Amino acid sequence: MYVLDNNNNARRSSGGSGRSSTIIMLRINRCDQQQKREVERKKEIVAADSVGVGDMNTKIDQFVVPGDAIGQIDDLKVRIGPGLLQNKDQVVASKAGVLRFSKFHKFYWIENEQKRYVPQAEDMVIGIILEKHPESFKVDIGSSSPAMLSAYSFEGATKSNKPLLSIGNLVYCRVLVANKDMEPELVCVSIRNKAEGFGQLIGGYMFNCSLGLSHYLLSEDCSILKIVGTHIPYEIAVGVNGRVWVNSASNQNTIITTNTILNSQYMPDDQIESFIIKSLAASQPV
Amino acid sequence: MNDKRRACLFIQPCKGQTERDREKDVNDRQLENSSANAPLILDVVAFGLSIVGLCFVEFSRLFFIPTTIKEMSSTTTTTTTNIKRDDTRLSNQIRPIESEQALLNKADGSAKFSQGKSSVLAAVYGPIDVKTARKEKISKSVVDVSFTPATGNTTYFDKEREMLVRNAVESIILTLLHPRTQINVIVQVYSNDGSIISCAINACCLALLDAGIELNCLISSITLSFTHDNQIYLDPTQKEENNSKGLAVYAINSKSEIVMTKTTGIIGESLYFQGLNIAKQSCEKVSAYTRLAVRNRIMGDQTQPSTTTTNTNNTLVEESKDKEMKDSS
Repeated sequence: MYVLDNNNNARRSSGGSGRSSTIIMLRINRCDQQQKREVERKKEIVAADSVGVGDMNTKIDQFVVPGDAIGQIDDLKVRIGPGLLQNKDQVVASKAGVLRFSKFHKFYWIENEQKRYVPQAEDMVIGIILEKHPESFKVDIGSSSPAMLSAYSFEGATKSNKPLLSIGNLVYCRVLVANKDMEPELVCVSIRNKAEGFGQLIGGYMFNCSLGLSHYLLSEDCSILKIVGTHIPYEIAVGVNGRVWVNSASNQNTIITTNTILNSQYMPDDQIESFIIKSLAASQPV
Repeated sequence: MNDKRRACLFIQPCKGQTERDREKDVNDRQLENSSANAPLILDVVAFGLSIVGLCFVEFSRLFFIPTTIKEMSSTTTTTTTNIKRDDTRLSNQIRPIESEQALLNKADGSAKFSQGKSSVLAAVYGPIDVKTARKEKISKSVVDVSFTPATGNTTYFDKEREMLVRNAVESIILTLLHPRTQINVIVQVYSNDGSIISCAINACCLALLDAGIELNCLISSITLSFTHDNQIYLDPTQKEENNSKGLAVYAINSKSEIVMTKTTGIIGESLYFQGLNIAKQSCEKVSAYTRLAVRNRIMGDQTQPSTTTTNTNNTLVEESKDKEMKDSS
């Protein structure tokens, strides 16, 4: 126990005044040091900003590898996505790829060609039914642990009217809960509680591709699907877990569509049309 | 000054073996002679090892012991370069590096990395479910490395290599991001012509980048061999490894922190630190190569891999080729 006397000297309440004052002095010194350190840190940050490290825009559309400092967060409305980590007020890359930026959402992320899916809430994925339980299904969506799909999360499903799904069936669903400590949860309805395309995928053919391709197929500037559509009428469901389901009138057309999508990564857009025409001609019976 | 600084014993020699006892005596005497300087070195080395979290010493060959004072003095006159090796390399040259990524269809990430005739295939699966519940960790993912030799069964040498690779690789993976999962790294040796651990670590780094697993930074590794006439050979072949007095494997990450070192044989202290400097420089080059290889895979071959042929002291000749698997797949 220490008390301060009139001269602002610390004194132990039960004697020994000399020692106690030194302790207080030590504390004060420590406080001073902390303040100094903070001031120095602020100076460093200011210096870094003036050099131009703080500008995250300089690295947009550039290649980065893990450990690369992307920049500093000076705008609190910035959102960082997959492949980026925040270390104090610095953003560091944790994956190799191309840094992308969406102006509308103020969103930064790293685009790469990985195959393993890590669930995120509100992702649309294609799952394979693994197990059937009375009120739920275990679904494989390519993540580290199988996801849970409630039998009541289909449009119009009730206790007496459950969906008839068996093991191995495909479902197109939405990730409701994605947490690294919990198993992912899926639903087969949109936010408005309507099916809107979600549910079982009947017939057709499913194939795997890289996550980068599946994101590209869903993006607005994807022209492959339109080009294929001018030659072959088909149905498609793209899951961002790297699974694509295709259905068309005949098996030949389904295969051509699949090949076109898979090969589109390695050829320019103007070659796609000739590729489809060539494969259509090859599939015709002589 | 360097001559006076003495390395210290990390392990007590086994009792009952005269040769080791003698060595210990020598060492103790040297410790007494330079007691003022000794703790400093202990600190430096202990610091390096504490970062690594790995204190690996072969019991059969003592680590870090200067054998005689005569030898210590002779170590200062080392690294006169431009001595041709068997394969017409200079002592500070590494063999041509070649790599190939995404060559396996099923694996999440895969890479083949070859340094000269040593070549290794690494495959990464993960993060996946933990297969054996006993291994599962609640707060982080488990990194499992299996090291398979080119021929024959896995021996205890391979188990040792497995452990070294695992320790090096685990340090760069952000394991906390995927709790209760497992990351499998499978290392398959194609052909072993020396510095196989370094080759495996480099291959693992490339495969992890290909798999898109979150990493702290890059890692690169290099092996040095110390010859009987106190030359330091970078990236030794199997023959050079066999003829060497000592071997040192360094793994250094792209923040230039030492992640792993492993030495065998008898290496003088000043030689060791000389080797460390050389290793740091060459690891930077290997990291730069890795960066370029991944860049070429993701963004297309925009720039031709550089072929640097500077032969000044401590620089490397690097002939890098990168094959793309894009067209074939």
